[in-house]
Formats: sequence, C-alpha cells, structure tokens
Amino acid sequence: MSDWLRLAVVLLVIVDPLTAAVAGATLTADRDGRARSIVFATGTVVALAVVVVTAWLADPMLDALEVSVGAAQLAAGIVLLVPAVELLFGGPSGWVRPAPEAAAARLGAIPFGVPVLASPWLVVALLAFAADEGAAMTASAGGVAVLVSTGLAFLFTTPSDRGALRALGVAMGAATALVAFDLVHDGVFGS
Amino acid sequence: MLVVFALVLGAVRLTVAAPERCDEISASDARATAQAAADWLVDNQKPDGSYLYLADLDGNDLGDYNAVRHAGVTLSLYQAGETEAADAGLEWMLDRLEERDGWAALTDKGVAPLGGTALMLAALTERREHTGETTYDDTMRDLGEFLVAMQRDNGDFYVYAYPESGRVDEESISQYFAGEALWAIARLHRALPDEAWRTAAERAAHFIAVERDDTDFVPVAPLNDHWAAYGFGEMADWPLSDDAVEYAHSLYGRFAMLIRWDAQADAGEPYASTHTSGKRAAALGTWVEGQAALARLARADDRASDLSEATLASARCGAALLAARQIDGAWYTNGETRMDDQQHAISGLLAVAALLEGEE
Repeated sequence: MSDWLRLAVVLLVIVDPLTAAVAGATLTADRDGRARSIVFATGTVVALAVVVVTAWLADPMLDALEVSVGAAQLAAGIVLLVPAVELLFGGPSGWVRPAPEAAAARLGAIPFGVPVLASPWLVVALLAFAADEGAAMTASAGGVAVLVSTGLAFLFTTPSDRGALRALGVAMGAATALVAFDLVHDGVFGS
Repeated sequence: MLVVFALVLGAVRLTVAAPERCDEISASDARATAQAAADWLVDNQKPDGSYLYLADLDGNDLGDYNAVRHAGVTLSLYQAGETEAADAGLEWMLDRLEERDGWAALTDKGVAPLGGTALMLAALTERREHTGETTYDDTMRDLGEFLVAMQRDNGDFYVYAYPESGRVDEESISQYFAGEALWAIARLHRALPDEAWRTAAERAAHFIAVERDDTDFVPVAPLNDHWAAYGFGEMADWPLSDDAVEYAHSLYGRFAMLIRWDAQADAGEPYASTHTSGKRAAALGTWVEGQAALARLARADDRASDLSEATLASARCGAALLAARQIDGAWYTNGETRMDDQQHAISGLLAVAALLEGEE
C-alpha cells in the first residue's frame, strides 16, 4: 500500500463515515431530498476547507505552539482515544439533535461540516500528519477521506437494528483505537 | 463529548505536547560551552592524573571515584583537544593496566570492568586521531584482545574479569558495557584494521540490535544506549546490517523523546511542574551524543537518511539545553556535579558543533 493510500485510509477512519451517516440521518430526518443534498454538500465543502487549511497551516501552527512532530503525533494519538472509547463503549451517536427549523445550509456547515466531519480530533491528527508527511499529501488524502466518508453517509442509510449499529460502532472504534496507538507509537519511538 | 475532548487536549498540552525550549545553538557556542566544561575538568585535575569526581557548588571534593568514568572523561578531554591533561589521565590508567598473555585490561581495585577497558581503548583511538602518534598502538591491540576475549558466543560480553585469579564473572550484566565495547572495537578496526576486530564488532552490533534489550531486561526497549549509536555511526560505511539500521531508527525515537521531555521541562511554568525529570547533565549529554552519532550514520547510509534532519534537530535542541544549564563550566543536579556530567556534555556539544560545521 502506498504511503498516500495508507494515509487516506487512516484519515477515513478518523473522519468516521459511520458517525457522519448517523449525524446526517438525524439532521435530515424530516427533510426532502433537495434539503438533504444541501446539508451533505455544504458539510463536505466546509470540511474540505478545514482539511486543506489545517494541512497547509500545520508547520507554522506547530512552530507557534513550539511543538515538535513527535510530540504532535503523541498528542494526536492520545486525543484520538476519546472518540475511540466513545465508539467502543457508547456506540455511534452522531452527537447531533434534529433541528427542523434551521436552514439546510446552516446545518450543513454547523454541525455537520464542523464538528461532525471536521472534528477537533481530525484537526489535531491533520496537524501531526501534515508536519510528518507534508501538507500536500495530507490535504489530498484528507480531502479524499472526507469525500468518501460523506459519499458513503449519503448513499447508505444506517441500519435501524440497534445491534447491527452497535457492532459497526465497535468495529469503527477498534479501527480508531489502532490509529491512535500507531500515532502514540510514532510519537514515542519515531515514525 | 466536546468537553471531554477539551479536557484531554488541555492535559495533553500540559504534558506530552508542552512547548519545547529548543534554541538554535551555533557551532561556535557549542564549542565554547564544551571548552568551558573541559577547562573545569582540567582546572580540577589532581596531580596523579585523576579528576575531581564529585563536587558541590563551592567546589568541595565530595569523594568517591570510578575507573570507567575516568576513562570516559579522558576520552572527552582528547576530543576537546586538551591533550596534556588527557595524557595525565592516561598515565593514571596505564598505572592500573593489567597485562597478561597478549591482552591488557584497565583494573579498578582488582576488578577489570569491560567498560573501563573499552573507554580506555576509545580514548587511545581518539588520541591517535588527534596527535597522529602511534605510540600506543600495541596497547590498543592488547586492549582490543581483552575485549574480544570477553565476548560471548551470542556477541554479548562478560562484564567483569579478575586478572589476579584469571576468573571471569559469568553472571553479572551491564546494559551499557556491550555498546562501549562495540564502539571501541569498531574504532580500533578503523585505526588498526584487522578482520578479528571487524567480526567482533559486527557480532556485537547484531547482539545489541536483536537480543540485548531482552537479555539485559530493558523494561521499555530500546535502551537509550548512545554507545551503540556511536558504534553504528562508526560502522556506517562497512556497511551496517539491516537489523542494526532498524534499531538505529528506534534509538532515534527514544533519544528524541528524552530530549523533548527535558526541553519541555525548561519551558517555564506550568510546564516545569509537569515535567520534573531530575536527570543529570550526564544523561542529557548522552542523548545528545546518541542523536549526533545517528546523524552521522544518516549522512553515510541511505537506509538511515530519513533520520538526517530529525537527529540533528534533536541533538541541537539538547545541546542548547546543555548550554543554557551550564554554571561556571559545570552542570549541577541537586547542588552536585559529577565528572561525567562534564564528559558527556563535552562529547555531545563537540559532536553537534562538528555536524553544524559540516552543514555550513
């Protein structure tokens, strides 16, 4: 697997299409197809902007914070354990509530774009990856991860069976935990 | 969820992602700091060639001594170009040299610790490089013979011998002696080439890379062994085996984390309170030495070239910390300085200066 593809897969896990699907379904439950498309499209654009800007600003941001690449990797790994634990033990909640009065574009930007797709832990991970792998590679891999994640969330409805959803959440949580431990390993032993 | 995230992020910022105080020390500042430390050692050297081992802030001699550290300090003085003082230290070691059947070993109260002989040999190779003199070539060969005779079948070494009785301690272990022996033998092979030295060094490097951390009960591998890093750097153009190159990568990560933690400890409050280390300059100096040795390896071996910038940046950060912490030529921990605080700082600072000069 090429470095770029590996990074795209890792970022896809962090973006988390399952949580995106649950959040998207919650936010668009009582809306027509057009409004649903607006929510997803707006969220995707906002998340892509966050990914690109974060990747390009990673080096100056870490310099300003006086944080080295290794420390950023270690920090990102620890921070990623938060959603990993949530997915493993709480299941995919989507962290949003229905807002039937809100405009579709606003819902797409907030909360679907930020913080569901472009979550705080995605931003922290992007800083670490961009500092280590380069801004262009991280931005492109992160962009593809966002597109694939929203695409999956848009095309596939989440299972209504709570047991199946819980199992998917555990799988996603385990994958996120693996990414977290890999980052911690890189931060401690060097990537 | 976001509240939990914010709390975790705050905790992370206070600990593992705290700001790192990494000033950009210049080659000349690194050399000046090393020279001040060398001056401290020379000024406090005793008439018999031994050094002031342990002292308080007022310069009072707090006693104790260690032959292995004596050899290390002598090595650092040769590196600093203080040949006269180092030669006096060498005489002290020659007075304690036990010679038998083609080998020689530095003894300390009747015991010959492997590390003492290894560092004495390293000091002599350093002297030979600096002066061009071949006066001690036979002694170097004899010291090398002792190290090779002490090597075990798996590439590890017995760590203590008793020349009077001819007994070798087959039970004790020392985590750092194998690395010291590796480096000394590798340097000996460069100075006085002989397949026996090369074979012994390669076996030692293999042992360190694949077995040592298990055999010597290292709780969290890899052991932060700067001597091994020196050895790998010395063997870079032999070339080094793949397992040693892989181990060098993990050594970089270990040294980087240790230096980073110390840099965070010096970032002021509240980070100083969350990064208490209590480690002496001897420790920080060894991490700088290790990173500098790995930087040399990275410049010589394509398989380690990915470490080139990172090792130098980390070593430079550690060197800047050393410079900032120096007090009148020495480094004090809890009001005391030990001679190897100066030794390792000198070696690390000079290595960083050489790397920076190689860049300019």
